[in-house]
Amino acid sequence: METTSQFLHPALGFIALALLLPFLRGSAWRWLVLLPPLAALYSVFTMSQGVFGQVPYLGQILVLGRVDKLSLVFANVFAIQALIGMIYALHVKETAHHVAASLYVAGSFGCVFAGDYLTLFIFWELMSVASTFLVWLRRRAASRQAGFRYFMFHTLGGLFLLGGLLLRYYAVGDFAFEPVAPQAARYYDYLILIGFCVNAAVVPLHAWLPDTYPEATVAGAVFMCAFTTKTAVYVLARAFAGFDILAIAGTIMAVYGVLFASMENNARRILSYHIVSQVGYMVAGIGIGTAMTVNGAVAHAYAHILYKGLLFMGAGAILYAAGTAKLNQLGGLVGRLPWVMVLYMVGAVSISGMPFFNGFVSKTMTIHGAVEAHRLWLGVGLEVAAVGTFLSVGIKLPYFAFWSKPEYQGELKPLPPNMYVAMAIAAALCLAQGLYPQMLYALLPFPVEYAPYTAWSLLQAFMLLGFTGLGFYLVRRVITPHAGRNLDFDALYRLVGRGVLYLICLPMNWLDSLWSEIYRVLGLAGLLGAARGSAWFDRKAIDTVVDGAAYTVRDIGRLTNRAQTGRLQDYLAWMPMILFGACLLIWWLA
Amino acid sequence: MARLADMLTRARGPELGRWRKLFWLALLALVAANVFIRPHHAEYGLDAYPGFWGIFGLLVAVLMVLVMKKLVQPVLKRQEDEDHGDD
Repeated sequence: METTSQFLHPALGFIALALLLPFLRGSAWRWLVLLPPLAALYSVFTMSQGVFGQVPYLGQILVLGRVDKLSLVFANVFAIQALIGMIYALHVKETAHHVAASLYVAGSFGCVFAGDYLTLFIFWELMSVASTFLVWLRRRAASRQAGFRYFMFHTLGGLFLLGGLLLRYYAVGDFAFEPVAPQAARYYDYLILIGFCVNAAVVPLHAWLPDTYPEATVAGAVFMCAFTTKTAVYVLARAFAGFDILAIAGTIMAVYGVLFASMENNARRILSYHIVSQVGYMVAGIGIGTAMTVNGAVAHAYAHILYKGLLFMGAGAILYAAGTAKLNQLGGLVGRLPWVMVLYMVGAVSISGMPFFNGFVSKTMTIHGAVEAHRLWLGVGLEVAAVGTFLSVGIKLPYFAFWSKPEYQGELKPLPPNMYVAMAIAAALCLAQGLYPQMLYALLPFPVEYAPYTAWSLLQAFMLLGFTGLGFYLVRRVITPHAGRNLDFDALYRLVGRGVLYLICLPMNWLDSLWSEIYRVLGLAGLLGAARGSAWFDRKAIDTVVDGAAYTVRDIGRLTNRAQTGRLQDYLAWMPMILFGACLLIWWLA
Repeated sequence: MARLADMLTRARGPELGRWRKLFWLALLALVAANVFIRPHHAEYGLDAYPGFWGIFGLLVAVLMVLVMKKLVQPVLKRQEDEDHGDD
């Protein structure tokens, strides 16, 4: 029975591609980027459940391949979205972009199949570093700064995770990554939970998301909107199902995201706030913790990856063609980019929970589960968020980009065909899953006892959406977007950051001035004496020895000069490679 | 591509009035259908009344826009500067 228990880690192909790409020249290599996602798809669809890839490391057993229904459904959609993302990015000439995207996806797969916290942490950090480069590669001042903020915040989240897993190890003696019973949770479990919540963009730890995603590259944002938050949803579903605090936090996220999106001007930032909102549905479903709501959360994560990717591809196409994603500068693009609008609208009605599209079959499941678990207020919150979603993503964004007058008059850069292909695949999947919910339901971790299509559920959905449309019509002059940036919690983060910097600088300044004073009084006199002595020695010493040493020093200096660019971005790029080498060395020696 | 662009451009130009009328009719039809098609048991209580979800959607949408754009945004809005200007 060799073939029934095979496990080929889907991350392998992506890591191999990332290692190979820097050495390739020409342009034919670009087709190579499609191979790892295809291999991952094959791997995921032929994979059997079980525990694979156990690697002894420093007295621990790292579990690289825990395959069960929960990890499989996430791996399934990750593989599909990786393929769509790579097709969308096919025209990108920069190798670094493909390397970053590959490592990022590899990190996601690593997290999903990780059977212990140590393995999870390693891939978690790989995701964080690699995704930072998808922001920086946009090469604008705003992107550079947003990337730094993003990386710092995720490092902080990673430290919570690391602190939690080490304290947990100290207390229980293993790194097992297993479900935690809510009443048995200890302080270290909560530290781990905070670390997960950073990546899940749980309010108020969410501000990195709408701050950064609009600054990422056009193709990079398509990857980012799929993997970071949904990997966090996976680990939350794995370990923290039934934590009531998540039920409340998730509903707050769902409403908070749509409120901020309703006054936002930048198309990609509107979509980013709607990630916070949509992930809120998933976090709430996990927090309520019944089979129906956890199923709903997982189904929604699956559907969300497809339609949100599609929406980011549509908004990215506008940005690519027009050079801006600001709604107040756009308008009437429908005559010039009709297919972008049609494909975008498929994503827009999917996220809004329009019947016959995939958001409907997953979103209603979570809401229905919440009501069935007698959490009426959570249900109401999620319905409010549903109205806000259709309002902003379904009507406002496309209206002011494609429909409103006056028309955008600027030039439009022609879109590469691969962008259309990627969007068409995503749109087809959104529609197919809406029409055949079993496609999605068959993958869910628990048996599904829910029928999305009844006469009443259809009528309710169409009424909700239709009258939201009427609402938009009535206030369309008020909702008109204007230029400007709305403060969010990131302003608070920055304030705290400046405060910490000040607190560190204050004693350092004092120490520095003290040292200068000591040096001036004591050091200078000693130095003068030493200089007299060395001058005498220099005259007497053999010049060739000194010269030889000088040349050596100069050459070493040149070498270090080339390695030490002083740019944090370069050091960050070196870090995972050196870390990987060090880990290999330790493994080989041990 | 051209045919689709044509069709959509007409829909937002000369044919806009027709589409708008169709929209009003659709809303009316939905409420009318709600008189006959009811939930098995009203989950929230109020949703037993026909047209509840229509009023819910309309009110939430209008209130959300008015509160956020008129009350909240004037407090939170900053000019975009070099640091935060995106494209």
